[in-house]
Amino acid sequence: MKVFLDFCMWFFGGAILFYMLFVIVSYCTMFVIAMLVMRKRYKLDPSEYDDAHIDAFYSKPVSLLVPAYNEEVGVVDTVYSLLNLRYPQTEIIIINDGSTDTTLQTVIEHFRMKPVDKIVRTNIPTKEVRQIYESEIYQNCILVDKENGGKADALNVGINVSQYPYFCSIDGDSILDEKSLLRVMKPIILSDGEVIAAGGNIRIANGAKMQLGSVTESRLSNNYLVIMQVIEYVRAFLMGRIALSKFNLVLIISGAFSVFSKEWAVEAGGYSTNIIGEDMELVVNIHRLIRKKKEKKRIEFVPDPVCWTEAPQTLGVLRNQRRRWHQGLFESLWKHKTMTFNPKYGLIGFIAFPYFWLVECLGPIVELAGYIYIVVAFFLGKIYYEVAFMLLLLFVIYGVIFSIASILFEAWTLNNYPKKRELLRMVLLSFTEIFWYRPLTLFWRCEGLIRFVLGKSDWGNMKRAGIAEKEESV
Amino acid sequence: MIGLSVSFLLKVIVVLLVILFLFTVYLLFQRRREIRFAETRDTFLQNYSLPWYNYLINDENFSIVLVPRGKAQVAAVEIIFSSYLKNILDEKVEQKIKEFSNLYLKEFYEKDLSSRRWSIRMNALYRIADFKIDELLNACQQFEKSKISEEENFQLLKIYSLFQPELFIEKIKELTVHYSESEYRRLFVLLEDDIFIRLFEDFDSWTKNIQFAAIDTAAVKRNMQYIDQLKQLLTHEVPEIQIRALKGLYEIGVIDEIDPYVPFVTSDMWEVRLMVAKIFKHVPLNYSYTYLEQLLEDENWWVRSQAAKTIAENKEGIAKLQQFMESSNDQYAIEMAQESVVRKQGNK
Amino acid sequence: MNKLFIAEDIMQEHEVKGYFEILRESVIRSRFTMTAVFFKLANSSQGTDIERHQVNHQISAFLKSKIRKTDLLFQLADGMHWGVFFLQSSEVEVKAFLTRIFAILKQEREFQQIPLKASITEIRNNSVNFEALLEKNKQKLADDEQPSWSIEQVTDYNVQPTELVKVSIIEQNAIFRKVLETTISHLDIPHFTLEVASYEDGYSFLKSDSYKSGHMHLVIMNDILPRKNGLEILHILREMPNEKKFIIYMMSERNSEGASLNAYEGGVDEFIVKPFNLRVLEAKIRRTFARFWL
Repeated sequence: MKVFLDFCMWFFGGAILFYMLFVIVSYCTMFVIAMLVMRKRYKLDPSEYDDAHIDAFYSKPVSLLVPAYNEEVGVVDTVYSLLNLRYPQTEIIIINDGSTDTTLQTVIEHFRMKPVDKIVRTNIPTKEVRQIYESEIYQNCILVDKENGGKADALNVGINVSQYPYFCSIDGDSILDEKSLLRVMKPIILSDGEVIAAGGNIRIANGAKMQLGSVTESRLSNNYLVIMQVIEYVRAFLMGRIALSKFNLVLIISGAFSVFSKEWAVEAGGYSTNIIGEDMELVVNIHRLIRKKKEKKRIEFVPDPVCWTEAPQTLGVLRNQRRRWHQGLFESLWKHKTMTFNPKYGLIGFIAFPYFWLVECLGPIVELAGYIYIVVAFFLGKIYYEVAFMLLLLFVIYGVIFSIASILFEAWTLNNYPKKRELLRMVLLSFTEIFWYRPLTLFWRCEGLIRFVLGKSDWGNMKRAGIAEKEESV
Repeated sequence: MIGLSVSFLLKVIVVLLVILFLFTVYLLFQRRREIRFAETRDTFLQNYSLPWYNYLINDENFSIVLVPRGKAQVAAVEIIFSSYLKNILDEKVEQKIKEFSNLYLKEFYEKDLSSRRWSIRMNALYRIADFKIDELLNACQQFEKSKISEEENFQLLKIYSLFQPELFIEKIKELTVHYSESEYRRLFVLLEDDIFIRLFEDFDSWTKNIQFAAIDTAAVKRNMQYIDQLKQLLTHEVPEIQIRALKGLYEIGVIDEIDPYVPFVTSDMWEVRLMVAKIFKHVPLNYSYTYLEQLLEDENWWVRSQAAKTIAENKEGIAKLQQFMESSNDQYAIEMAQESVVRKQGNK
Repeated sequence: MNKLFIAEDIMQEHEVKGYFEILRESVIRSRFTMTAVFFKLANSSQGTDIERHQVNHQISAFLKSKIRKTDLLFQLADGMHWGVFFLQSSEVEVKAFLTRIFAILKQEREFQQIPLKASITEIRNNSVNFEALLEKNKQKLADDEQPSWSIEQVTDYNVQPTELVKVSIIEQNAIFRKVLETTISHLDIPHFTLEVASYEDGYSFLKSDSYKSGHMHLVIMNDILPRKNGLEILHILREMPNEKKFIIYMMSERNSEGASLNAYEGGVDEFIVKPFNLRVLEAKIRRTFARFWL
């Protein structure tokens, strides 16, 4: 018995150590790549590009899709923030997904919507459309009333109704910068359509002074949970997205604000209605399509912050969110598991998928095991102290050092030097991460995994919540 | 082995923490510098915005106090200039900014051009083009000889097109990098007419993107003298160019004869037929109706839809469509006509 | 005997006074010039009573046949003067009218015996009362030596009152905002005083409450603004009960037909694409205000 336990402890200790080293090395690599990309743009004047491309002649028209399920409070503000986008040609399509509140009436009254007869081309099969309305005030504003079918279904209806070659999905609760769309469309315009989908950098807006759809003053929140999430977003952004994007390996672009080429999205079958992470699903499907058609197309991640979102302020909501994200991630990966190490999919199969499997998806299990190991080792006595201690040190590098480095480098590259107090607060809080925030989120993510394995019981329930909740992963 | 690793790891962590600590100190120091920079810049803006207004708009005499000293004040002047150029269209203002920049800002940007930082060089190139600092043309040509990025090369092309169009045409001919259509458009749209028309002389020698951008730019300039150029391209062997030329002619909106467009009604490509259905908007309905009716029964949804729209936009169109609905037995076409009629009447 | 001279079918002095007071006030309110014309026979002393009665009748009938439906014809109590109020007409327009009818009178044989003379009063303010107006014009026409077809002028009331106009500039770029502010406050528009205020975003404009006063209000704003964009403000202003007092110019960087269509549909008076010429903006503002008074 003792021999067995001994063997287990050494084996798991070694495995976890090895895993941690692997993760740290891959993060470091991505971090270095991100630094090179970001630092090049240091102090570059962005207005030059923005000003040149405000003219319709240089840009491509975009359809903005706003799915709304019981959003009578926020929907009008969202539409106004879309009307305020600095972009020459857009149409706004609000899709009322069979709301049970007064969303429909609110929109009709506020924008003086009038019913119109319009034949919709069914590119993607969807639930039935009841009626299409057009605004009398804003010619480019359309309201579609449809049977309830979930967010993905609503977006598909929007795609069918849209008339422009690109569409952009927008979450009801995200706040956009006036230049958001311009920035997200930039790689698409500059590549002459070689980039067929693009997503932007999502930031957390809690604590920032927000008023009427604009972030007027970005100030750090006082809520420790929110600050931790801010750090987490920055880290995910620097150690992941940018590097993956450079090699066309992006599997997730946040559904909160991303642009797709309609042609490709339609051919990829639009949004899947029976899956939690419909945005990831679409991206993966498009990747498949690119390989199938053997075309040189890219999906890109834009480092500019384009979209602000409200982060959960309480443990309960955060737990729900993380559980869902992880369940969604696992589900998508599982669905496309055949792509892993499949030579047909090139780097996607050999780097992106293994990375998502090992680091993003199964990572929480190993890490959690690491935490448990440390605790167990503490009780088992001296002989395991060293392994446990090393593990702890790796956690420190992984959690503390990386977090602090991300905060500092982000401030450096974006040239927005934060206030002394805020910077120090974030750094100090990073030291505490490994003791509370990290284990908590690990635990929740494992919960998500378990939920997936146990079956998809409360699915319909999830789908319904989908529209109100944010749909991005960190 | 593990014992060594622990102390090694400890060392690594300590070293990293020290580095991060130093980095934090550096950042805080940088922040102080940034704040001072912003203060100097804002004070300049505060104090000299009005004198600048008086000089640029009210024709008051130039005063030496307007000249910036140091980087922060240059940044302030840049803000003033770009605010004026972005919002105000006035040759006199442009001329004054040009003269001033050539005199007082030239050296700053010349120095920036030799910076090690890509972004600083790019900013300098932006400003040279924006403020029209033509005295730096030679410096730019010199700069081109060093190893430069695609983006820098693009800015140089823009600068040449502004200061020396001849050189621009030369450079674009020997171009080794390929830019996107929208970038070529940005270059072409600023060209003088006589230079621009030369792009059509040797049309087939250009790369695809240049060809497309030239056609689109011709359309957006809405200049009558380009209509003939575009018409000639209608018989081009590349279908995409035909479509673009049709689109350009549609956008110019002056169709003097219908004959060149008739063959496209029976084209194999639905995109072509769609463009023709659009072009007929600019032709009196009694000339185009027979063809439009043909297009109304087209197999492609977009073509049918556009044909119905084009007919409905005409004064007699509704009547014609109603007539059509009675006589036709193409169910799809009838539906389309129906929608257009309802839509049109709904708008009244 | 006076009764004899009075034609029964046109309005009389005492009936018109009340109307005049209403018209005079609406001149100010709707900023439309009104012009009063008084006619008198050039050689009124000749002829018998019967003849004069005949002539008066002819004059009344003739004038009645020539005026528009919006003009008000009446006869004065002394039986020797006729008055017409031309609504929404300036002195220039009325002079053209007089030249026309005088030409007709001169040519037509049956009117040979009624040589008229007239006096014109252009009214652009409300400091005139009915009696004074009549008195002034009677004096102008009192001289019997005046030749036929002569046209006199009373110029006492042709100066419009100076009106206060609020100008609000809503623009994010601080430098350009200042440029607009300075340019417009130096704008000299006759009979209007401009009170310029500027705001950096829509919210601060709405919070200022200045748009709630009854003054005429020129709003020059960008379509894209932080905190309440231009289209939203446009909507709010145009939904107000007295929305007509707003003259709304919208500036935009969006150079596309869709954007300008949207703006005009939403109710802007001018859609200006940036960059634009300041002189053109000035000219547009001048033109807008010139339209207010004929």
